[in-house]
Amino acid sequence: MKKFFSLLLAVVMLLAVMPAVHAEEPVTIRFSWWGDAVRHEATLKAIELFEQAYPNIHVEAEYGGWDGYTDKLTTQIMGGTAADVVQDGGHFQTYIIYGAQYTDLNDYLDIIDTAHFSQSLLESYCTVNGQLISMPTGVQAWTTLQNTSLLEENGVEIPQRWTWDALVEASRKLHEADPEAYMLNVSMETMTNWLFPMYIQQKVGGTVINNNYEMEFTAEDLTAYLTWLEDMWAANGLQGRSEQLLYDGSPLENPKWNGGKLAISMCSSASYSWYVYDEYLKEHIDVVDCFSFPEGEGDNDTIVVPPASFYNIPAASQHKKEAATLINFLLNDLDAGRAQGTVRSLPANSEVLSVLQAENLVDAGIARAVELGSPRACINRGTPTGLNEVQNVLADYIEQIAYGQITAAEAGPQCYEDIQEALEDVQ
Amino acid sequence: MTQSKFKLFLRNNKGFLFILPWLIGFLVFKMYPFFNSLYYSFTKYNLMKAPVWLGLGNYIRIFAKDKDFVPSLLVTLRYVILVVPIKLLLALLVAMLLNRTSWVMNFFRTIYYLPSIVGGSVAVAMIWRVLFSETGVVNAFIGAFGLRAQTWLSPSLALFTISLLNIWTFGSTMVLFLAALKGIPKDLYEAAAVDGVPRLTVFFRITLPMISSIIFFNLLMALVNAFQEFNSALLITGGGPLKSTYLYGYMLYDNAFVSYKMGYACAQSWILFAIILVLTIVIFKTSDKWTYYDDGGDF
Repeated sequence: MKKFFSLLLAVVMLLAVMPAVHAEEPVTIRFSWWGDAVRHEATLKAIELFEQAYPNIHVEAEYGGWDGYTDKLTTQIMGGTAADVVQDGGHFQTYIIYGAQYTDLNDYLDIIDTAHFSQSLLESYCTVNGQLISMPTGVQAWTTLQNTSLLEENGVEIPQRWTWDALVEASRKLHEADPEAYMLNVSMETMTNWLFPMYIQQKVGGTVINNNYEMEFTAEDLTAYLTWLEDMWAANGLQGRSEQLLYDGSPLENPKWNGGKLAISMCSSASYSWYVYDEYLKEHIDVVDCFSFPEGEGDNDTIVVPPASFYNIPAASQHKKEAATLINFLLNDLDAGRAQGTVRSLPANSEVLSVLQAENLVDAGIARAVELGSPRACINRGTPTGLNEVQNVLADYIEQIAYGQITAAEAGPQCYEDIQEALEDVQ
Repeated sequence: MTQSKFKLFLRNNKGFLFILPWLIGFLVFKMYPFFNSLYYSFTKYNLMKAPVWLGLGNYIRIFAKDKDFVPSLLVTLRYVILVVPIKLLLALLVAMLLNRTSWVMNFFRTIYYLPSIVGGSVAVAMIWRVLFSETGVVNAFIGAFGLRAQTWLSPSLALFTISLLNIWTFGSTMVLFLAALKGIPKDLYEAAAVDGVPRLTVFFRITLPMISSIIFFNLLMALVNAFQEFNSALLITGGGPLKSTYLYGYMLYDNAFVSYKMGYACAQSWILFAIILVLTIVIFKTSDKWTYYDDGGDF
């Protein structure tokens, strides 16, 4: 009898202790992001704080530059080997079209506090089919960085806000004054994925390609955009395509940028520090208002302001709870907020943003970009706008125009038809 | 099987046991994906959803509807025709120059072999991009000789520029030629010298035939390698400009990992396999007429 009760007591004690043992079981989660050295350092610091707060969760950091990140992420998502927490530039919306699965963060709202986030931001950019797929890492605006002194030295008049046509005229003047200088520093991705939607949404309003795969613009609208690009090349506002090609993955690496021969670069405000990275650039670059049509032309003067990036948890993750804990810490913890500062643009958490503003931790350039851009926020351009099939068609025709193989007037209708065909193919 | 029969089986097939680790790796990492890709080539598959059987749908679409298939194949053929002869000729020429006994030759052999070690790696491809930019080292070099700077990544020159990256790695081909040259019996050259045979005739009538088996091997390897080229197109030109470097390997990547058409890309890869197989068979069948083996060529 004594032995029986001793055994029973031992079992009861074991059962009582087991949940605690289970709760403390160390877990390793993977966290992937892209960025520059400044962002990496800040994020690693935040991870350190997280591991101090949650000693049983170890975070394996997987980070690198932007160039190639999307290719790697695509392969990982397709193969089910992505990290537990993934920083994503909005591509998850496209991946979902192709069948990728993500964790519905609505199931983890007991861990992730969304009280200090804009609900309209969460609904517009983070929710797909009623599921909260991701959390925004920051609020941002498409930013125009201008080398004002380059323009002034070459006698180019600078308006308060550039219009699309004024850029063409200014390009001509700049290149005549300095044959080594060009107006815009852009990659093919900028031309297809940022300027094109911006142009269309300013001209026409609405989305670009809505979620029913319908183009909300006409062939004439597309031709107008391609004509603008054609005019920019003719006016030497853009470098020759063969030179642009070298820096397609990373326009900030173009030696003409920090060599003071490129007047305007464009980027997300979250990438501000990547583009303004040395003493020359810090001294000469100003954040200015993004281009638009003149007042009265076009329906809008909107610019793109999706969140700088997103954190999501792929469905294949084996540690969703721990991943949600990390996301909550990075976005809601004030010390983590201080450590990260504005490396992902202004924090989307209003409480963290207030603290950073009060403690003077907000980068002035980023703040200015968001201040200029936020009032001009456009609606979500529609997920199919970013589909690779659509982007590839645009890139093909833009390249043909760049090399003079086709005129914009000829390219517009053909490109429109090919995009239509690509959208039908995808569905 | 009784124990003694089992022991007999093991004794008679010991060799397989020794190569078992390699065999398992070969079956798992080569053969399994090989036949798996054949299955996927008959399906619509993007890795994120289950494959849907299409039968010959992918193959029909490739030949009837794909606007990039033939142009990409032509670009690849141009690339192969550019790379293979130049690489083999350069390798043979350098091997002949280095076919002397001297400590200096050892140094040069190492120097010429080094590129094939670093090869068309990502780092080298990135450097190649910078070297051939309009303000790059190559233009500075030719400018020193009074030549006009070229746009090396223009539609007309881009394919040549990326071909140079493959040609530059001729070192391993050169080393094989060198070994073959050293294996030519010296008495053949002595006899030719005694008979007063001109040097060019010696080259075509003695040297080339005696190293023909290595030419055959190098030709085959260079051909297969060139048809599958991908790195330089991805890293230097992105398949452009104007798809002038849209190599078949790059097109496969584009369809598989950018457009998420894994089944379609598998079908394209099997077509490439068929093309390379046919060329290989042709080279093997014709090799009897022009290759010489000391031992008669039997295995």
